[in-house]
Amino acid sequence: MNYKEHKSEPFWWGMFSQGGVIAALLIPIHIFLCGLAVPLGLIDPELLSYERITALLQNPLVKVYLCVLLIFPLYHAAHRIRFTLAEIGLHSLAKVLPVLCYGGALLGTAVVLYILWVLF
Amino acid sequence: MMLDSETTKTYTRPISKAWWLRDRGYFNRRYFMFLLRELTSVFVALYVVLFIYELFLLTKGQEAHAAFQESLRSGPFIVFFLIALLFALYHSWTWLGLTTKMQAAGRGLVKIGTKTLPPIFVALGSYGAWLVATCVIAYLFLTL
Amino acid sequence: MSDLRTIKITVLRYRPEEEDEPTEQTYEVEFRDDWVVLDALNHIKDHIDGTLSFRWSCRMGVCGSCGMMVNGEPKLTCAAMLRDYYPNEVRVEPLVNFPIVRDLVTDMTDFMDKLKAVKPWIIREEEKPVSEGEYLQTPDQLKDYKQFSQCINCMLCYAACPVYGLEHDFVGPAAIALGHRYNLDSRDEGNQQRQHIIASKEGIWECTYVGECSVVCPKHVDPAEAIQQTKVATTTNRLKSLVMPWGNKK
Ligand code: SF4
Ligand code: FES
Repeated sequence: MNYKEHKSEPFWWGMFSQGGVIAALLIPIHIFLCGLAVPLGLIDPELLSYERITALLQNPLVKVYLCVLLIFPLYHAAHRIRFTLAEIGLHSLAKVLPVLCYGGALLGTAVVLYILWVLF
Repeated sequence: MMLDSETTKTYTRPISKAWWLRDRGYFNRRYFMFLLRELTSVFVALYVVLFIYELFLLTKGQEAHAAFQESLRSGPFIVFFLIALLFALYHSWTWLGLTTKMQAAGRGLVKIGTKTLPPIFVALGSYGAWLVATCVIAYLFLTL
Repeated sequence: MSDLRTIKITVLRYRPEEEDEPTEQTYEVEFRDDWVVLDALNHIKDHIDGTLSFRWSCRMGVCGSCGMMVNGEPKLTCAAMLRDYYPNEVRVEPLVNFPIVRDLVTDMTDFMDKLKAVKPWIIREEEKPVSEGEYLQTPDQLKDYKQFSQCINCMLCYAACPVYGLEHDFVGPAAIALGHRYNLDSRDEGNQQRQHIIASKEGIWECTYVGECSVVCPKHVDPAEAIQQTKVATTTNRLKSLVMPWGNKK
């Protein structure tokens, strides 16, 4: 067997673990507030009104925060989905899965940046 | 024993495709929990994609946004968010616990001078960070 | 407590000259309270069926040669008490993920090759002459790697690892943990010589942290954490070398 150091895996793994930290720290409270608390009427629905959100999005800090919140977890998920699919039966696709999964994350990154910095 | 694989007739029992349910005749709960842990990422991804879609709708104007907010009140969405929240919490729990485990092995990750920082501090730090982040975001969301 | 009890032991047998696939055979063994699974196998071999093949040596958890699947879990059979299974029957099978040579004996060539490839010994850029004395080490420096040096090469972790089961090129838990052990040793300078295998596609990057290796390890080596620590270190080093290409790469 001829082994050689892999140069790009550290990059993807680094993104995966950054995303893992961000998802661990931030995603639960977001799901709770926007997905459960507001729709169930536990807190004022005006908190997610069009006026309030668009006003918040004028703040560049909010945009940067959303970039971090949305982009890194995409790489986290892409990495895990890549390996899990191979582990539960798609082992023969092990070469294509990284392209599909990380490609999806890259596409998602472009969409987030486009919406936040071009459309708004 | 080292042997000549050309001349020795060996037999390898193949691992099953559903090894996380049954691996060569046995169910291993930890394999199953591993798969659940990896599955959390699917819910993280779905939530993020939904979030991005919401942002996109905002650029379409007030009407589109209001209609979507209304549909989020429907049963299926509530159920989805409930499940997603459970998975997201399981991710937080396992991920933050992992740093503590890494700190506890060998030289760990964080050293102060020549000593490895006791893992309990890493545990307090990572779960503490979760609590702080959660409170700060909730506070900002409610007051900004 | 009555001294002798009878337990059913089902063994997976494979006799390559007679059969193409393993078959099962059940024995009834009278055992004493302090017997381990290995004692029962020796009893079978001595008194019931001399054709049964298995490996063992020390009978005290140091040689690492008696690893088998006991009721589906990789175990050192010299450390698995029969009374913990009684009154249920015990199923003994060869370690999974390895080719079976005969009965409970597996072929460990693959592991041996990988072990050798990580160079598990102290590497110096230049050896100093004996007259200059030993390479000294502080207790704190010893602590850095001591846990990872406890490995007895029993290969239970490979049998526990589904990633290895699916991809036999995976360098695997014990070999990586041993490479890590020497990388962490203050007397060692061989980091660079191990990096090509440890940080290869088949090395740390194949691992998805199922974590079962660390659960089954009889010596608490914790190979899963060794692999994670190596991922963190390799990633930060790579980042450093990108941000500061002039920095020294140790
Ligand atoms: S790491 Fe543990 S389980 Fe693996 S070979 Fe070494 S002692 Fe056995
Ligand atoms: S016989 Fe040596 S470890 Fe069990």
